Amino acid sequence: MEPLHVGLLAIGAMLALIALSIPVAFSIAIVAVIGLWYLGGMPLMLGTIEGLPYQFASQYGFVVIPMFILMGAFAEISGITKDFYTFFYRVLGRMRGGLLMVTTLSSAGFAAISGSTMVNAVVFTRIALPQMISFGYNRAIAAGCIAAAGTLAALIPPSIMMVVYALLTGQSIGTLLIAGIVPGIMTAVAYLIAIWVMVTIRPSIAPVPEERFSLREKLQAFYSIWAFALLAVIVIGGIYSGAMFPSSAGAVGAVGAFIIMLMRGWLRKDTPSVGEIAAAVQSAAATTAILFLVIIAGLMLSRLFVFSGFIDEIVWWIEDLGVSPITVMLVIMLMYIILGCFMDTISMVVVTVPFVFPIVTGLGFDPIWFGVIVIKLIEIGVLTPPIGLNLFAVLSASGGQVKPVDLFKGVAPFIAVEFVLLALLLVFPGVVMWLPDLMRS
Amino acid sequence: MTTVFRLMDAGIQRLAYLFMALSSALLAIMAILGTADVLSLNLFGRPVPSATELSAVMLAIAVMMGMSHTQRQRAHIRVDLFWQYFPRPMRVFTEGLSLVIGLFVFVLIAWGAWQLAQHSLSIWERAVASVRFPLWPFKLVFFLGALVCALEFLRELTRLLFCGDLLTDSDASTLAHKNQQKQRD
Repeated sequence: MEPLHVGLLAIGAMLALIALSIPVAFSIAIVAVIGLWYLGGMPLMLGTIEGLPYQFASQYGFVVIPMFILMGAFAEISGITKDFYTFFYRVLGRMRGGLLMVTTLSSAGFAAISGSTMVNAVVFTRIALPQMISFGYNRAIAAGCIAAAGTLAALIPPSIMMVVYALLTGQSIGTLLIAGIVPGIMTAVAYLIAIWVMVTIRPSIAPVPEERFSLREKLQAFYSIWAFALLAVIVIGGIYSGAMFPSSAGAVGAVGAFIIMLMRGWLRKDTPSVGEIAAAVQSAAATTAILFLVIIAGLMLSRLFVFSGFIDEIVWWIEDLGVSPITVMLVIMLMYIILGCFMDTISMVVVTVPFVFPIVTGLGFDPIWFGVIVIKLIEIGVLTPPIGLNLFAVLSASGGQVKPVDLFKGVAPFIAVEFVLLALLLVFPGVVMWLPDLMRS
Repeated sequence: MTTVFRLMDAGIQRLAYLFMALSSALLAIMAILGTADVLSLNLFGRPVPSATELSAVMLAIAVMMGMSHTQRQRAHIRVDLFWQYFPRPMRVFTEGLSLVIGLFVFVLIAWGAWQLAQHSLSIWERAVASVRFPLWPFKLVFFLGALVCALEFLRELTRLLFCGDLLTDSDASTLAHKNQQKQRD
């Protein structure tokens, strides 16, 4: 069979199994195993199975994943999200559309500790949505803003998705994490501008609350968040300066979050129980196992594509077509946007990156820049119906306060903002590469 | 025969819980070890001996030991977009197919891990690090993690095929669906 046919058949079989609701890791692994057996016989298949899982899972660089997950878990049970929200509410709450801005900024702040977009969306739905509804905010815009602001965790370090991309492509985890900072901040600022425009055009969607806060109350609120803010600076600064490997920084972040959680609990007489702490660690262990199985399967698939010659074949085919690299990039982006409507984020990255990454780098695009573009496309994916994960997260956490149709309408302006930002990053790749270049130099 | 199945069922369940608890404990140890390493390097100018190598092998076994419990909880990522439209027989079929594929994959992984562990044991393999700790126990535990996960698949498949009380279709898919929801939350 021709390499191109092997590759296309593998992709088709994998997507069919995934559509049948077979777990993504199993779908990818079985296709990779059968493909490797077909191409290289039992020696290739068994050699891959024997070596790859242990070799991959026993690399120090990958310790960063469970450490970042642990850090986020401890931060979450410490109640820091509510404190972030309270701080920004006391500072910005009196502005028109202030609560929407508060949600965006708090979500960005929490994103610097937690790497999960869904956790962000769920937590802020519970904290911010009831308050916005009680102040008479438009439900659709409020829920849409929460769903969109949740995606900031995908770009702002520590981002689990960035680490997954780095593991699949062999890129530097530290460089990728740092590359997400500027686009992450840009996204938060663009959301704030979009909110300001919306409330200026339609003031009725966001009435101004009556409540006022003194300077002392604002400072008190800051007192509740400074420790976690400092921890985020230490972790990200440690990676940026090269003082710590990402895995070491993750370990420091996890232990730091644990200590801060205990101190806060002790001071407020609300220490999380041993059961809660054990559940958080167990949840981190389970998430780690899930992620690693999917990534191991993805790496087996990469090996199949490389061994079959599918990648070379498809790159030559694209070159023969005579289209410009930017056209290819636009087609790839379109593919991600369509896939994002039907697949969850991790599956989408693991299924596509093994064959898209070599094509993109073969066409001369920077692998770090492309990582940020993939994450941006994922942000759009988690916001697009029918399977946008953040939409589900907001709907399930809202307890029926928001209807799906309203949420889809409410999130639309933020998706538009995402497309504008995506275009900017495509036209000005220097925006992404500025910090990584500075870091390397 | 029923008693044998029940004993197997309870045994695999306890192993899965035990391995998950150990996996969680390993993550906590890795966090402490990593922090101690950073502190030692910055305060005393030298790292904790073999901390990175030890963390790396602990990661491997933490990952594999968490697999069986994760499967038991039906927590693996799946795209359930079309699942709700499947008729009952189709749901049973996809559930069975998932288990067969999972069993096949984990039997292969366990086989590969056993080969590695056997080789490591035969040469009393040690880490290439400042403290040359033995590697074979880690590879052996890695194999055990994969084996218990394969046994969990076998247990679930046996219940699906012969006991009829599985996690039969509605329970299993509901559990998977609930977990999917939990992941989203």
